[in-house]
Amino acid sequence: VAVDDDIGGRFEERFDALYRLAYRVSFRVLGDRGDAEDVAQDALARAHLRWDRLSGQPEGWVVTVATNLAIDRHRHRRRRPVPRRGEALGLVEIHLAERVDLARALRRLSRRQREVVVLRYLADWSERDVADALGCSPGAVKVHATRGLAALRELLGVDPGRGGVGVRASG
Amino acid sequence: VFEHLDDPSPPEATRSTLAEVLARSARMRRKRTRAALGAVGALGLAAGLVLGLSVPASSPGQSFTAFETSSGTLATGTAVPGSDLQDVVFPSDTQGFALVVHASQTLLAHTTDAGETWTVVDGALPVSYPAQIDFSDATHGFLWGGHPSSDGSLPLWVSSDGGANWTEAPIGPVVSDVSAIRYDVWAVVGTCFLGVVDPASSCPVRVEVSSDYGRTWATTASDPAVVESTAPSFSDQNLELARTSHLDAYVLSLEPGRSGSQPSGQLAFTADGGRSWQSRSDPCPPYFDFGEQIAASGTDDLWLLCASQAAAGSQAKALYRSHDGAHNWTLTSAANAPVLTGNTTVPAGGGLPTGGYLAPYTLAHENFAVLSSKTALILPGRGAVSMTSDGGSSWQAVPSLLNAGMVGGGNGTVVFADPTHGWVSEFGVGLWRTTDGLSWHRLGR
Repeated sequence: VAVDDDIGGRFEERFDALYRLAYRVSFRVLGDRGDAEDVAQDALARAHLRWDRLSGQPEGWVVTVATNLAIDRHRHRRRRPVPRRGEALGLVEIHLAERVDLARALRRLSRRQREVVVLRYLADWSERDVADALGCSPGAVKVHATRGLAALRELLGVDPGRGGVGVRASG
Repeated sequence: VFEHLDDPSPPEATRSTLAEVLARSARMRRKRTRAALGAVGALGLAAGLVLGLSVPASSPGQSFTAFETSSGTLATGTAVPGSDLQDVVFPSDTQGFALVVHASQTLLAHTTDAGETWTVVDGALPVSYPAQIDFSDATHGFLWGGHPSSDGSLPLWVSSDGGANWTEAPIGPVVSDVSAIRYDVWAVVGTCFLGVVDPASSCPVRVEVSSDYGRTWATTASDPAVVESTAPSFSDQNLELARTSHLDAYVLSLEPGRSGSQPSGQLAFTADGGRSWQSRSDPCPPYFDFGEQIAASGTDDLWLLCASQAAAGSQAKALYRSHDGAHNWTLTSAANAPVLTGNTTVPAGGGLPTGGYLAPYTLAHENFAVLSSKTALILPGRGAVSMTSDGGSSWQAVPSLLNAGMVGGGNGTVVFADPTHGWVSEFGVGLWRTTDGLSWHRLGR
């Protein structure tokens, strides 16, 4: 039995990679380091609780849960963060409007479309990896990704010809 | 597509991040368990009211406000819930110690009332979970394991004041297991720094001995003929030390994932306090390359659990027994269709519990307690406690533990101070005690 086929290895040994993954997708949605760390820790704690049930591929589950938590966190934010006096506007603030729109748009996708879009475009997985994680064919992933992306464009009010917020299909 | 939304300098996942995640996981589990118990309690209350029965009020317990609300280092004396104990040891039937993950710290908790209540002894230990502890008595403690230092070492820390202060012992570089029989303390030590040399190579092992509770140390006159893998590891768990007296000891080494026709484990025995070591055969077939655990009820009575890698949620396991000091071994029970070699056959019905995972999933947990040549208990990771009363041929779940609220399916510890006084902890759920080796009751909260 190959190591990759075991129940996921020790949680502690997979922790670093999974945490980086969860933080990355959370930050892309939230744009706030503290919030993204909090969401990543929450996602990993939930993964730890059900580690034996995540089979050999906890990554997909962690990405999906981290994104859902990030979207949820976004929804419950009372107000947008305002830089304090003297604090430089950083990358976070520059893309704030885009993140707000992205979180809202993701929330309105169907569950399957959101799963595919999140894994394919937020976590930057290949179609094959997404298909493996979701237990469907690469063809089905392609269909969901195309439809999800189209829905995202519509929700974001993006002109497909101009690319807008950078949501574009790629092989 | 969304690269432009990335954090240009994302934070690293540190030891304290892992500790925080484990603590959150414990809180979530505790909350779930409380909710489930609350629902059962409400049903019981309703039934009691309908039937006119008296329902006992819950006993007033400790307050855990500081533990649950503070995010910093907890002060000595802060109350700790019994449901948050990660690794428990009891040097006597009343005195116990436990590792606890709180916020980003790994702390030491202490009980003087057999586990009913726990308080912080040291709010910030010099190691991070998953670490291991042992105590000779209520005063002298030993702490090792956890994450290797940046140079690949895993030191041993010694306390002579009940765990309040810790001093690094002058042995190393990789302290893998420790066994204390009162003042007489042994440590099995890897001689190569973890992750520094080629992981495929292996390193000789030596045994260090202290006769003054770990203050001074001397290497045994000869080394056991076993080697250890030097692959990087969170907590070096591939060397195990089992002692049955001041003079008799076994050292078991495992090279996980080793392929080939030879067993992954190596076993050495001394009967003269380490002056000389003899090699013994490891009965676990090569298929069991994932974990081995050894325990003994006496010098000649050995129990060896072998575990394969786990696939599809189940893990092949086998239990071998020796009655002649590891010269000859008998396959006593098994689970999940292990692939055996030679002329050994799986006993009818298997015998061992199919659920749960044995080492290394049970990292840093004491989960194999041999009480006599007939009686033993195991608590596999993600499994429930099982007990044998026939020398390991058959294993049964312990009903009184389940009746007393143990959930099973998480991580926990089963330890005994003597053949009748024992404790089972289940991380995020609770702590249970037996005073007769058979019936269990829940302690504290």
